[in-house]
Amino acid sequence: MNADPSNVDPGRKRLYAAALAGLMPAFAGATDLIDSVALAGCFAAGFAFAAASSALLPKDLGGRRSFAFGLLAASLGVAFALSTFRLLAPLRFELLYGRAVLIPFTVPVLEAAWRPEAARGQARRWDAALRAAILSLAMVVVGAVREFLAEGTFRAAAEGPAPHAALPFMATPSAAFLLVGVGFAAWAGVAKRMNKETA
Amino acid sequence: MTGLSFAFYFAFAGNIVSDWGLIFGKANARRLLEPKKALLLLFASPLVALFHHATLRYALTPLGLEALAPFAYALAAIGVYSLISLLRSRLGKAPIDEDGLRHEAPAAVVIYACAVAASQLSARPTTVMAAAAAAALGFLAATALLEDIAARIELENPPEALRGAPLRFISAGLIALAFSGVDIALYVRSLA
Repeated sequence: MNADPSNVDPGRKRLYAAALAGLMPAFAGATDLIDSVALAGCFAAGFAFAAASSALLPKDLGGRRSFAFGLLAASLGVAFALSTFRLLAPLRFELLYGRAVLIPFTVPVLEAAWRPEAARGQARRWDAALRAAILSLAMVVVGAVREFLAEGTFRAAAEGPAPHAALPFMATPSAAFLLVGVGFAAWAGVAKRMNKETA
Repeated sequence: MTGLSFAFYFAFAGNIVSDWGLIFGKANARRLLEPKKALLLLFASPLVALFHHATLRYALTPLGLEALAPFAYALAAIGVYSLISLLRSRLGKAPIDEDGLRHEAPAAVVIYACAVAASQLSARPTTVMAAAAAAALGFLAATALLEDIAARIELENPPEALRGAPLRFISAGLIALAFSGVDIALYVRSLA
């Protein structure tokens, strides 16, 4: 339990805030469900390759060399996911390319590539994997919500003309900032209330 | 597009912060706004943009391997870091420690984002370099503006759940909304 039950664990809040801020280029690019699934796939692949590299490399390699290999592995992971997406949707690949190539250099992926002594251990690894899964899911949810609010439907499943759009500005990058900001504040508020009730 | 158009485009419609979502926490944002780092962004962005443009155009695109562009950048960044480490050891200076390397990561992302954004606008190397410098300038201006807004809001004692990152995201969203108005009014309409 937290030392101060009225607060959300500040370390955890900071960790998620840094991860969300780092992934904001992907959130901003995820304007619909398909784009958000593609970007979440790129992030998951980059994260998995970086984490696998930092876990599998010999322990005596040294932090900076291990980080360099982790960064290269993350870039290859994203390239692999992006190439797969290109085969499936070549036109969307062109639109998403700029956002996707930034993913290997985002905070959560770099943190996975990093192997400081303190971050070693199975528990930390699972914690990081869970965080990556939550962030990928958040990306898909934000993309889906933005598409539904901007278009009034999901284009992938829509038949016939699209209904009247409720909030067309949801297709702009500003919507990603607003949704993530409001969602993060809601999470902090709920976590604070739950901590109070537990106490 | 002329140099002035690029500066205007990257200051508002195509801003690296509001359009590309490159936002940082308080500590990293303040570090990036330090004069030394700001100069590094302004000078490194055109060079990285030229590198990105050349690798993409002459090596990766002919082979259909555009997806490997981040790998090429990571390889180049590691090469530059190794060179700097070698020079420092020759000069008898201490190598860059892991914390130092971690502090450089945000600058590396911004430089690459400027390069990618610039290379999407033009096929001419000189124009790409000018666009990257304009993008870096736009990033610095928007980050400074966002920092000032965040500092001002902190004085108002906002609700606890909104303090810190949520308010920073919402502020960035409102700035981005205003900037996207410029995009829709001047750029998207002219394409239609």
